Amino acid sequence: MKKQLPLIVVAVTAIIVMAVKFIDLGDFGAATIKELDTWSQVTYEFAFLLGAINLTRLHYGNVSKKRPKWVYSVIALIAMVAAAIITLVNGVKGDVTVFVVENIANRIDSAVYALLGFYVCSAAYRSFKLKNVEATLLLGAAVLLMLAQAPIGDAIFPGISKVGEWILSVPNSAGMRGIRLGAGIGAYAASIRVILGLERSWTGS
Amino acid sequence: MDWEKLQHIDIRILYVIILVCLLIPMFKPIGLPIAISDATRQVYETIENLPDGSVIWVSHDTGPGNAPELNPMITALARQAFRKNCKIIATAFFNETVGPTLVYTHINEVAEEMGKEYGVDWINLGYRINADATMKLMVENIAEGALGVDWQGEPLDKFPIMQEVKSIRDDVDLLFVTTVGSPGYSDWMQYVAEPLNKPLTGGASLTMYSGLQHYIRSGQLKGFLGGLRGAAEYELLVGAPGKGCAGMDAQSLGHVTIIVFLILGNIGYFAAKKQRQQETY
Repeated sequence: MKKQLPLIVVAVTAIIVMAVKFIDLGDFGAATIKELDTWSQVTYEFAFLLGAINLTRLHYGNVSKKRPKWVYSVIALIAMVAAAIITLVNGVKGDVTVFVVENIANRIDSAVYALLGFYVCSAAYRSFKLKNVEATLLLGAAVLLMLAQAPIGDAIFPGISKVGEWILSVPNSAGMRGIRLGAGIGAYAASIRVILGLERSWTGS
Repeated sequence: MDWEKLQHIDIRILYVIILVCLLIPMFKPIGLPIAISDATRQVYETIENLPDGSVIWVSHDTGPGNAPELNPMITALARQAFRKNCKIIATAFFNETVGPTLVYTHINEVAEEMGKEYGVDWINLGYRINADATMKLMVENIAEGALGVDWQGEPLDKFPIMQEVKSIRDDVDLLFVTTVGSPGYSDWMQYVAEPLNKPLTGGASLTMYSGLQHYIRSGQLKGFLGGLRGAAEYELLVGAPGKGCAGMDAQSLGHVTIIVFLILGNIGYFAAKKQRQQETY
């Protein structure tokens, strides 16, 4: 039953949502969808709690078994507990909470994202070599778009930004539509497997 | 000459050169002219063509990492909207901690400058968990989706703007979304823009630009601001160059540095290959 109940809940909910979408059930249908949306919001709140529990279990396991780089798990646990205590004591909009969020969490987030620029540059330098036709096309498009996206491109090659726009708008759109259609069909097939109970990996089995 | 070395320049040297190239324009701007793209012009014209006093829904769905790219878009949008006496309803569905503060700060800065009042001309509803479900609730009843309070927990009943704007379906004229992923344009299209036939426009980080082009071509997205470049172009159209334009010189030098290193790496690759062939024979 522990494994079957989630499958039944998913199948029944999915059938209700699809029925309401494709069959005009009037006020009853609208009320049903609204109720399900509210449930969905509440479920998300619980998912956060579940996430915190899982994270604690994972890092506690790393520390207690002294797995490689377990010191980072200690830092993660301390940070998580400290943040939780500060928020509970000081409130979500409290001065200390806002200070911690703005001056520690946000700064770390910004710094990590900014570092990506350096890594991308280094990775491009080491790996972007004209080894074959495909690599040449990729490198050519990349250089052209880099120039097109920066004002210096138009200063060196007037009108290059328009060429960049065309590449993004025409060949790129064509490729993206294909990818989107493929992904959509894939998601549709995966959803049907979940509804029919054929795909059960999400239950942990 | 050992051409192999050209392929293996110490990465720390590369990092220092990039850093210097990004810093120079901050102290000594070059001021290169910025060409306006069709996608940016379409965003500007879509907003400009709204009747005065329209209601614009602004969702700043970003986190701290992408904020420097997207914040200037919000500032410029607020300027254009308030100039037309439009009302703004703001949300931030991506990041609970920083999104609501960012959208408040950037709209409030312009609002104070232009004499617009919080709660009368604009409001910030902040973050709500499960964006998809919240959007669907707000389509019929904004207060219900926002749980009856603004981003600071103040009851919505006390704000005059919320007496006029009750639902997205009946009272909102345009959606302006800046996003870095999920929730993204597909969510806004699926649950709000397409079912209600509301115009949707906005911007996103440059990394998302290529993935959204087909929405622009299909007309589902009324123009698009692509990254910092898009923000800079929009600032120019609005007539208030700001942080977007300021970052353009750094972007120019950054891109040129990467291209120079790509060329060096390839020269090293081919020269070393030729050298090896000659040594073999």
